[in-house]
Amino acid sequence: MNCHEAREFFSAKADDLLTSEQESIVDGHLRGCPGCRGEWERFSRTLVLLHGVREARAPAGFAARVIRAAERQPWHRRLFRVLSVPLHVRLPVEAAALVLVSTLAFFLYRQTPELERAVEPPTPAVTAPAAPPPGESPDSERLDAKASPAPQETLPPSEAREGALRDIKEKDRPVAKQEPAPPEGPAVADRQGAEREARKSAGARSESKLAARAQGPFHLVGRLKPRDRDALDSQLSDVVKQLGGILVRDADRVRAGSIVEVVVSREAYPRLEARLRQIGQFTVETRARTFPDRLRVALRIVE
Amino acid sequence: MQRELSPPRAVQPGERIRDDSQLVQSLRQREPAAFEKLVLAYQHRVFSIALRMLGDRGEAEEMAQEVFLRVHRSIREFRGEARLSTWLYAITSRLCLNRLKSPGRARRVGEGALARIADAHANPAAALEASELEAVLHRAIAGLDEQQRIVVVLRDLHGLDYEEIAAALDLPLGTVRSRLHRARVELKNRVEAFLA
Repeated sequence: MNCHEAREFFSAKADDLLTSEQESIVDGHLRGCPGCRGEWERFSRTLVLLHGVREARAPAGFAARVIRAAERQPWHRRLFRVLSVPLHVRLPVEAAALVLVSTLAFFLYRQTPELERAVEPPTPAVTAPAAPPPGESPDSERLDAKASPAPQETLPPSEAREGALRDIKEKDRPVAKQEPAPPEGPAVADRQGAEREARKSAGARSESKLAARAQGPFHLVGRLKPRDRDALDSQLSDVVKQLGGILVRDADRVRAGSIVEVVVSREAYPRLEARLRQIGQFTVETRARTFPDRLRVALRIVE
Repeated sequence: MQRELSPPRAVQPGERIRDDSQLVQSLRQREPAAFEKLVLAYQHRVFSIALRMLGDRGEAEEMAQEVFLRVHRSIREFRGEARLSTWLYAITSRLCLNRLKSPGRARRVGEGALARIADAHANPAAALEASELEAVLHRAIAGLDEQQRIVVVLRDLHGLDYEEIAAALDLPLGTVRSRLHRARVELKNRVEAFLA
């Protein structure tokens, strides 16, 4: 074995991979060759140094980052994980969310007269348009009134309109009572059935229109602080009557805390505002950019 | 002649995860605890190989993370013919070699990494790991050809046996032996030159 061949075995010798025969040949050469012996010593010393090199450590938090990156799952799995949060964590969060939403809803309700009115039961003081002429349904009358604003300028007093509303209700009531009556014959039954259906649908349309009008948007919202609280109801009623408008109360009498609706023509509004300023301290809170022919005014009565 | 060599450090049997098959089974079932166990067990080894190969801590961290994410994604493709660790080293080696082959990457290893390792005291993290002698060794390793470097890193720094290295690098056993021998001789010459 020459020096070159012996040195080719150094790695295998270092890793203990030589057969006993190979090892004895290599060792024999090293014993007789100082050059190769020195070379082997330097070679093996280098390996000792190499094996002593410390393993580099991954940076702090590396494992957590990897695990987090691997956990980016599809949305349904992430949703499931969120839903499976322990109760002791989830309950306080849900309770806080509930309180927050309730508070927001309450303030929204207090700030918005439309919402406040929408949750109240229908008030008996709602004023209605003129009584329909005989043979004409209340629904068609209201449609006509809506289509042509001119006749509304000469609306009858609110008492008369309340009477009209009562009439409408009276008409609707017997229809409901007739429903369980036994049929008198095929032709009569058909005719009565058709009439019942017509009345029922007319009544439903009438009430839904009334409700819709009461819940529509206001063109102006104002605050009124009356000088004379006791006279407020009659003063307001007189003003609206003189201007040919409609007054919708939220209670039997207008008082502090009430929200009333006044429907007047656009032309009459300046006079309404002037009269309100005579009644008390009137402040406009919100106002539409443009007014339609007939505008709806919400008045918040404050102390 | 008396053997003076210590065995490569990482071949200590106690260091290996013995319940590979159970771990693989749990990984296939996507158990988070199993993946966590894998990362905790191998994070330093994978990071260390990447660092020795790439010479940059940030790049090594990114590479090590990619290795684990690949394992997480493709654990179902692992057939279990080799050890899980071998598969992990194979992915690490392949990704590192591919990164080194990427355009514009060659200069960083040859010069940038070498300069950084040589100037280890400027970097507190590197300073921790670099005694003077270690710094010399790191310089010598960083100067090796990448095909030789990966063999030395796997064998002499991480203690894989020849068969594992052959499997990880998909090389014949004879090629592994000859590359390792040439790399060691080259290292000896470089260390001698540094210390002279």
